[in-house]
Amino acid sequence: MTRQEEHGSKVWYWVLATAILILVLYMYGQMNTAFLYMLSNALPPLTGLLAFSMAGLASRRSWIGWADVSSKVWLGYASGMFLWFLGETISVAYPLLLHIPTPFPSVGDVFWLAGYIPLLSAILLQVWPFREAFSRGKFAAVLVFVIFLMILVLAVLVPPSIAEEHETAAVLVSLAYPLLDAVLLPVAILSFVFFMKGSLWRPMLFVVAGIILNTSADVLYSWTVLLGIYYDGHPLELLFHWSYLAFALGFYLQLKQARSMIDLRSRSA
Amino acid sequence: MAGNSLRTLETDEFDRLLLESIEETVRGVLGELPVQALYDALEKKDQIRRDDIPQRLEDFQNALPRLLGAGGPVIIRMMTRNLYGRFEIPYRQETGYDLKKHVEICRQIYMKKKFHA
Repeated sequence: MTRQEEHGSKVWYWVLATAILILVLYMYGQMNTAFLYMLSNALPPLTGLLAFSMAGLASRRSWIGWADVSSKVWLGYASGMFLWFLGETISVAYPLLLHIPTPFPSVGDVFWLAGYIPLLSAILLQVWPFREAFSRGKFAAVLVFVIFLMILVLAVLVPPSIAEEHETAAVLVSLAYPLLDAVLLPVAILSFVFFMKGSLWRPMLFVVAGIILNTSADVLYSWTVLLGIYYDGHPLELLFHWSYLAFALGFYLQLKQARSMIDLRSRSA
Repeated sequence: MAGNSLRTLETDEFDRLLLESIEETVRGVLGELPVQALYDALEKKDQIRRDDIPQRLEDFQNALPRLLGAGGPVIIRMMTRNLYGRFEIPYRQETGYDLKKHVEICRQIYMKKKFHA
């Protein structure tokens, strides 16, 4: 095993250990409501910050210029992470700093929703040139999945959300989340399948896994809220945290790859 | 002797254009650093150095799917189209033709053009 591979496997263990630690904290929290409330509000900005910091570093290292595809892709992911981190932080600032429940919609929602745009753009920018790799069957399967998800979202999640909200802004935001999830999730799943084989895609694989976990958690969140069974510290929040860990790992791998490529380039120049 | 050295020069020139075509394709689709990452992976895992690619096209073609998964065959098709375009040859997607065969066709046409020039 080379030193680089050894270092890489250490990072794997760290990420796994952190994921297990968060799971244990949530399990303990189910028996301690005050701790769970604190954990549920304090942890999202921290895991979000970890993912955003790694994304920022990876994007900085991978930056060549505006004409370079890879630079734009990683900038897109970093921008998405930044916006989602802001969304997380602002949302928990209400209960933690202002001691009031987070309003709906809040400024945090603006950042959350804005984050979908660079993330979706980055995936499409990366995968679109390879569209001929997807067979008609795969495309058809994804199309059916998107339509199914859209119908499910429109039929199950949207009408009650609208019925509960009376302000236009609240209705629009209630609609925007599930609809954006219904678009981003299938694109991410298709990309995940594409990135699964091929060692050069390894960083992308984790980033897209992060998107899948996050959007799935978002759909589950809307559903549990609708059923009235969601509470601060609900186990589904684990998916959000694990998604940020997957993001962080993907960005870290990209950072490492970009760093060694730049070293090689400067040595060969 | 002079004919042989001219032929070698033209082969070198063709190989250079072939490598440029490969790089241009990867750069255009994946970006600048992935070109380097691709060369690095080819050298480490398959012992294919950048300059060896024109002579080891089959190994190169076999290595790409392992490095880029389903994107490997797509990149190869793009490289082929780029190569045909570079030599102003109309591209026809012949079934059963691999990268080596396409490169061979382009090489022959390039040599003919050089010979008649």
